[in-house]
Amino acid sequence: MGLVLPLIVTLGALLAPLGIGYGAEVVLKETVMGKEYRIEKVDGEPGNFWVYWGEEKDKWEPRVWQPKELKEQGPIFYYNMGKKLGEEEKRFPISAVKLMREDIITATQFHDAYFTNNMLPNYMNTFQDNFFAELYNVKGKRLTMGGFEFMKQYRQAIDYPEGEPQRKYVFVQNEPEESSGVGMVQIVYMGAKADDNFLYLPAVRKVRRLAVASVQDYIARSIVRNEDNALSKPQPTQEYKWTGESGLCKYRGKEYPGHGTAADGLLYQNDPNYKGEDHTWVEGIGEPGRIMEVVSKDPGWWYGKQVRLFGLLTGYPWQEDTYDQKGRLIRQMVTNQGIYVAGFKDPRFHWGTIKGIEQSTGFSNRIYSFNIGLDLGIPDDFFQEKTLLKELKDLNAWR
Amino acid sequence: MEKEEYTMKKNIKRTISFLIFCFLLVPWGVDAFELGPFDASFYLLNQTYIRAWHGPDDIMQSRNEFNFELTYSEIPHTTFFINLRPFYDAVYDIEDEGTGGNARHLRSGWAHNLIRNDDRDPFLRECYLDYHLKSTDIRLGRQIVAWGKSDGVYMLDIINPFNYRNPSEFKEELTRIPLWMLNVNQGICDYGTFQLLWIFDKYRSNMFPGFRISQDGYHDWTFNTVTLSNELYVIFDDFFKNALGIPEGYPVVFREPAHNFKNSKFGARWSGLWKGFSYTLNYFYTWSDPFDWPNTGLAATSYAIKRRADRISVFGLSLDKYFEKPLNGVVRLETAYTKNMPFYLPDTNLQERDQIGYMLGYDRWVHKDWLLSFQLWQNFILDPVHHKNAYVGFGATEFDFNTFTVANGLIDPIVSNLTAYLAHDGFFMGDTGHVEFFFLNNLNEGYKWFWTKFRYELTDQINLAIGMNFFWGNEDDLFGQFHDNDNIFFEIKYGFI
Repeated sequence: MGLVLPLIVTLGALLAPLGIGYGAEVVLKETVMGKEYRIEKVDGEPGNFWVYWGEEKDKWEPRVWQPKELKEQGPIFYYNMGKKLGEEEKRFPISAVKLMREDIITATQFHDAYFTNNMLPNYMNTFQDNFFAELYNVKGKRLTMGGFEFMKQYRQAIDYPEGEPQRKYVFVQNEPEESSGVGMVQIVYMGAKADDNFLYLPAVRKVRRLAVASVQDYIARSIVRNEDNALSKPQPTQEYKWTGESGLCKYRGKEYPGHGTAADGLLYQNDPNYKGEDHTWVEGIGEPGRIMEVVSKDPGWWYGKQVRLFGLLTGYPWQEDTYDQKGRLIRQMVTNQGIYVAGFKDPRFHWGTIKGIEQSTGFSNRIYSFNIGLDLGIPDDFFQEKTLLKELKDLNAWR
Repeated sequence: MEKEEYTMKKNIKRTISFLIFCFLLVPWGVDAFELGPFDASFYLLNQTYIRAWHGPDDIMQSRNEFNFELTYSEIPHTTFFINLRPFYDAVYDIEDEGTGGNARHLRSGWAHNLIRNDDRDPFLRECYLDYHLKSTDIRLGRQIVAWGKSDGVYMLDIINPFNYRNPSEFKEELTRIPLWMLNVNQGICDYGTFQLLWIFDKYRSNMFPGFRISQDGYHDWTFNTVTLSNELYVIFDDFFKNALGIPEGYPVVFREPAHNFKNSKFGARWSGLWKGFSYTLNYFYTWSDPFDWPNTGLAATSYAIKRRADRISVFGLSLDKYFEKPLNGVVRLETAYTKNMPFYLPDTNLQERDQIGYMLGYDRWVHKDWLLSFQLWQNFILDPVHHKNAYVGFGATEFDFNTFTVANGLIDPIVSNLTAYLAHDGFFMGDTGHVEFFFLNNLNEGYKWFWTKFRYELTDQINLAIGMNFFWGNEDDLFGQFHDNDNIFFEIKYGFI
């Protein structure tokens, strides 16, 4: 007996690099940004996994709101989904995510090329969806906003000619009733050239050219600001950098009564407006992430620093913390992604929900997306003023 | 007195019945998806205007509207849309001064649109079919089309006439008069869009209180010149009948253009984008508002008035562009050339002249989230008789029977106005507080108009607003004549999608 135990230990040590440990089955072993990323099943706990990245170790457990593929596969799901999107189905030439993972793109370039908070359109030529937002104050008063949007991409490379259209958008708001029918066409250009914005107001039945609004302004009925929007390009007053640190995406954040937590994936399964597959989503827990810091050089900016965590396998912006100039946490956002999209055989990520809490005001916010359409061939001439004059009623407006 | 009380009570019951009717129409607890394949939305709106500073403290308007919209878009490439908007102005039941005090003369034309007043405030407001295929969009039916890039200046924005029941109503959507028309838009590659309009509706014009002589100047918003005309026609009619013994009196006969293809209105517009300029080229073949032509061709010898509209042509251009530093704003330009527009001379004869107008505007954000906008608007009547006090404006109040001329309220052939607009949408939680300020200053006669409104979104469904209007100037100019109409107004709106 005295000899058997050391023999087992020695065998274990020899076999460990091969992914065979003390009864722990290794599901995945990859090198990500120079560190070993490993997923192992937890002994005696089916459905649970250990996730390792370098020295970091965390336990992954399935959650009730997660889709069955994620619950069944565990965190290797991110690797499978990210690889499928990023390498096998390259519909769009740029993979800012791949470039980030290979560390050959600056944080500024990544921010410019990336589709903030909604990674999927990075891979698709056109995107459309309905969106719906809820804003709550500390007393639970609720305000909502909804509408639909269309997007088309034009950027073919990271270094695309300055002044060329990068993306074009049409937004139409359809609730609340007072704002119903308000529409906007936005053309985002490469480089410093200012966006073209056209606003349709039902009250006057006209399209108005808009001056570029302050990126610090709130988007109505949300805690999201124009700067957070995918439409916003890198700001000259901000410094974007990859920090030396990165880590596994984790659950964190305190509980807010009635609203759940900002930083975990628990959402309101009993929400009567949303049913079925759209209600399942993922939140990146267990995926290795890279951290970008955005520091404002303007002492009057609405924040001093933002810390963003991007999944290195999927590219999703799972978490973001915002601090004021004194280092106080003023906002937390998480992005949850759904995985079923109409028209595709296999599950794939789509923009699920953005959730956030603004500590400085006590407001919390949820923004949903549904009725997603990808690469449906929206024509180029749809993204013009005349589209707004038609007073679009739904997502089929361009067909 | 008893009869008046009975009538007042009956009318109040009618008002309450209307509101209950609207209440029952509201799909309480029902959302749009439960209306089968239709998308629906509605709102209930009350707008109450109170004259608070001059004259009697009376209610000028207490308008209750129910707006209902239904959309059906299950058929590919096609959308059907209908908008109903019944209204009832309770001022005729609850007020015995001003507009309300003259209910006997005004009710039939201005109190409601239930089976009446389709020419100014229709119950069936819009009803059209949209068909879209590739680059072609066709809209057929009763609709509203707005041209131009101006705010509150109507040079190119003349496709749909306006209902001037309350000239201080800022929300144009509430006062435009929809028309039956065919509206075709064809995209031409990447160059732009060509629009053709064929308006086959009956003749429709801007509608002013006092259009009927019997309405005199009873309505609070009757323009002085309209009141003056109505009173003069009554005087002439009485003179012809009683002094001259002519039984026909001095008739004013309104002959609308016949409703046929030849009398349709036609519009064409090209719109495109060129070097950052968003531009349009416009042409509209239309009818003027009705003008009062002396039947002999000369006012002094006339014995009747032919109220008729004239054919006019409008050629126009509009463009806008965003300029970066140092302007950091949008510059807008709109210009229109109108051929053969009639104008009243001081001797009340009419003269047709061409006119050209332009608007130059500038919009930018200031202090992060305030929108500031300026407009300079000038209008030139070409080849005028005189260069000062050449034509009769909207404010005339006096007629000199010795010289047989309008004695005041005359305007110059060149009219210049400056406007300023300031707005903020970002007050309170969720940007639910909105404030607007508007100021107009006339550079010729010095009249001014100030409008402001604060709106608060109490909930997703309920909006509350309070606002004010102030007018300055002489009694015989465009806005000075409404000085006694300085008012405070309230709005409450319940909307549901």
